[in-house]
Amino acid sequence: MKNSKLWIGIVCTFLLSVTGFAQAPVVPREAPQSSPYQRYTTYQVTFRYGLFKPQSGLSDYIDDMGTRNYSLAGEWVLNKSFAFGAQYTSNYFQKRLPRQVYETTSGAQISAVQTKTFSIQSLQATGKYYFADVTAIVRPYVQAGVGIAYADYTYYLGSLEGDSQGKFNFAAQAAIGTRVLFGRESHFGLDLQLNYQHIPFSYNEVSNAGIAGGWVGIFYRWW
Amino acid sequence: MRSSLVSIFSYCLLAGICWLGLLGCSPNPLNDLSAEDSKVFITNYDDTVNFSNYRTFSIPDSVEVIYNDRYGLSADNFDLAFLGRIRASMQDRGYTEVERVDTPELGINVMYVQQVQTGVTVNPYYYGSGYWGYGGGYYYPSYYSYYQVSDSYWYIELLDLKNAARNGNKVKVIWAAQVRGDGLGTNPNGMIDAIFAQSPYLKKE
Repeated sequence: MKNSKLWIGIVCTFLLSVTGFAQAPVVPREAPQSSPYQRYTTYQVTFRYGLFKPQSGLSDYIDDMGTRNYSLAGEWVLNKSFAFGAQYTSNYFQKRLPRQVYETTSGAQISAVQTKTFSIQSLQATGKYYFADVTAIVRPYVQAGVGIAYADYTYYLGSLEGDSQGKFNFAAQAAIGTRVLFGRESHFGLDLQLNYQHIPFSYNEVSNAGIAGGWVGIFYRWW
Repeated sequence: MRSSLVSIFSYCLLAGICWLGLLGCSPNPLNDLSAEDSKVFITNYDDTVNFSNYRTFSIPDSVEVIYNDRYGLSADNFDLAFLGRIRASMQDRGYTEVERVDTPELGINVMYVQQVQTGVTVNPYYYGSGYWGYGGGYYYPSYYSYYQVSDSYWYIELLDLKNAARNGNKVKVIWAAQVRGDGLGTNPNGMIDAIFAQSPYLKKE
């Protein structure tokens, strides 16, 4: 009798333990939910359109706002705060003066409508530091770049080319801006940037050309 | 490691090639320039000359057309209007027109030059100095400097015939004008008025 009670106790304990295991709540482990942009070095291309104004050094020659400015940039975006890449930029400035008579050093008088142009096409290596996480909707940054630029100074008297000088120069830029994602995991977003570029180009009235302006761009990112 | 370096080098090379290609894609700044605004009026004169010392002038009845080393004469309606406006402008400035045989003190050559190769100096063939009765050729003050590019333009010279005999039968060009640009076959009055307007010293009084 004493043995049968023992056996019943063992069986009950076993059954309880088996059913207990079977009915124990399954607590799923928290799977890592981080974005691939946080885990990997990703890529980004940005196309920008901008308005730029000549600064001192160039404004004695042309002081009109330039409306033909484009930029294409490609970057490796690190999963932390940095990005590195290359940027092609095209800036174009033009100013037309009404007809007037110019006296040349040789004593000739030339009556003409004058068209002044200045263009910069640069290729620069860029570096960025972001102030927010890679997945942040709004991600401010500072940017710097150095590279090479082809600057061209040409003015026309009527349909004649008056004077022209084009040469390769060192180029540098500094910028602040922000990236605005269209969605936390979106591939696309808006890029806004204030930018200053310096080209040590000097010729006639131009002395160390500087331009400042703003870019608005669209970027695409992927991994 | 080596393959990634090759890859980076390839990207840089591609970017450089694209960039060099884009260097040639600048906009044409003269696309929106009207024919009138494209015109350039260039005048030169000998500032040692007192133009009020001359009284009479003569002008041929046709335009000399120069095409590289070939030449001919033209006297269509436009040419006649062009010559007529020069004649009227000279008269307005106080000069009296006389026939070529009446020993004018000033001679005027009018040429339309086409496709002259860069760097080639234009000289009148038909209206050479012999046309005016002096065989010593023309000479220009040393500071005369004009564009010489391959296009078409009007070229007008004012000749000092009064002092040619004293200068060994050499005829000195004391004033010259060029009109370049588009629309050279329209608005002759506008072209002539412009070159005279920027030459206020060219007057008898």
